[in-house]
Amino acid sequence: MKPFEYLRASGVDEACKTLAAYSGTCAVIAGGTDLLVALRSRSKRVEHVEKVLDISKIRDLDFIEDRGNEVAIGPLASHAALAESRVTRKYAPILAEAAKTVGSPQIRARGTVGGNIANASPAADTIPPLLTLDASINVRSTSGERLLPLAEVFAAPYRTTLRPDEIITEIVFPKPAGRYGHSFIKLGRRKALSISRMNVAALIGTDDEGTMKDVRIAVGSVMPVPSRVSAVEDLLKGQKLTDDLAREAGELMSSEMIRRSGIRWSTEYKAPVIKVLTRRAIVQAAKRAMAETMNVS
Amino acid sequence: MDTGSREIEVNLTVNGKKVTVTCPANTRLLDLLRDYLHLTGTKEGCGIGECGACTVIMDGKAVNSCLVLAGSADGSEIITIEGMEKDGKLHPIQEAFVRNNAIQCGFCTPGMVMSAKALLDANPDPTEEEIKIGISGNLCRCTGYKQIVDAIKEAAEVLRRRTA
Repeated sequence: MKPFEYLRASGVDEACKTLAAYSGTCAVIAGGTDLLVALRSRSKRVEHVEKVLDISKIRDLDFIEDRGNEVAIGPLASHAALAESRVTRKYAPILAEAAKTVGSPQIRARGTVGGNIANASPAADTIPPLLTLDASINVRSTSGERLLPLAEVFAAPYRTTLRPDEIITEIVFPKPAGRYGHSFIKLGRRKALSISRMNVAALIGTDDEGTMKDVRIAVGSVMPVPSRVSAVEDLLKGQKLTDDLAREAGELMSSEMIRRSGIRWSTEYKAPVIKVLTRRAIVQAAKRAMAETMNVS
Repeated sequence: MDTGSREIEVNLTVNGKKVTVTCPANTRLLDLLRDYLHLTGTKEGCGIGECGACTVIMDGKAVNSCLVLAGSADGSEIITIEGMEKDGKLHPIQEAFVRNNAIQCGFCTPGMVMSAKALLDANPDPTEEEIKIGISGNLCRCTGYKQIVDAIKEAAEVLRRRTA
């Protein structure tokens, strides 16, 4: 294991001061399920790390709250908590289901949603669902607080737009109100303990006749960074779903992937598979929306 | 503000006993248990959270002790395989493992038993699917999963009868 100094913060202000003082050489640890693997293998990603700031004991950062029209989640909420919480299961089942597919019980007990965001893996399982929920994050530093859309957080694989002195204090999203259906499909090498080879999150709102009014589709491990795919969303918006349209959406996703990611060693496999995953996710989400009795929030 | 240090002091409860350990800051909970407390029942397999051989119970939940920094375990309550027996008698989960031949080489066994305990503590009457999910973070390279699942099923019954 790479040697480092250990620091611990008992509150957010203290954490911000520490990060400001050691900006650029200090890594934040919460659950540790990604960082310790990187430190142990002396990965390039942690080359700069001389100190590790433990925020896992900051109680104020561990919550999942129903705030009327919004849901707010603390960055220290574990994947297990996201999977089990009544609030996420009711208002964001897409997130609860995705959290349930992360790692193993041991990983879900320790790994946190804030860590999943800050680690910025292209394969992160909670990020595409959060993108379909139009989530934003609150970040804080000694110079203040700012709210930014989650879609603006990911710069490159394992790189965020957050400054090294900022920490995530909250993840918020509006509750989808009305007739919504969701789907999260993850393709891994096996059922348990697998990292996503590809994942698709679809959240679709329809009117009573089945016309898709609100279409939100995000993918992981498909683009360089997890992201919404507006071309596919626009194709579906205002339409009623048919088999042909779902197939067309899958094909468009596949060509969007090649357009944004280029032809890679995995393209031969991923191009046909993402087509099918996208089609399935759209069909499942639209069907669920129609089966939904009006979800009044 | 903490200025950081390469040596840290960790206070924790292990198998019901309060202990204080001074160790380098980059020590993992796994190393603390094995190298400082000499509780070598907890095994290191992969060291990256894939195999579950290092599973211990931390504040009621199964965790990979290879992915917990010793400092993060400060103030926690840890149960290891050594904490399972009582008064020289094996825990019902351990007895069920023995009865069902749920052990071949034995390397995964301590982790399997700890995952089984965390599962049964939270869910005393699990379905077979729930048992499989409960041990999905533990690899057995001898692949004796059937016997392990049977053992956990049987242990659940024994434990339920005992509390009934």
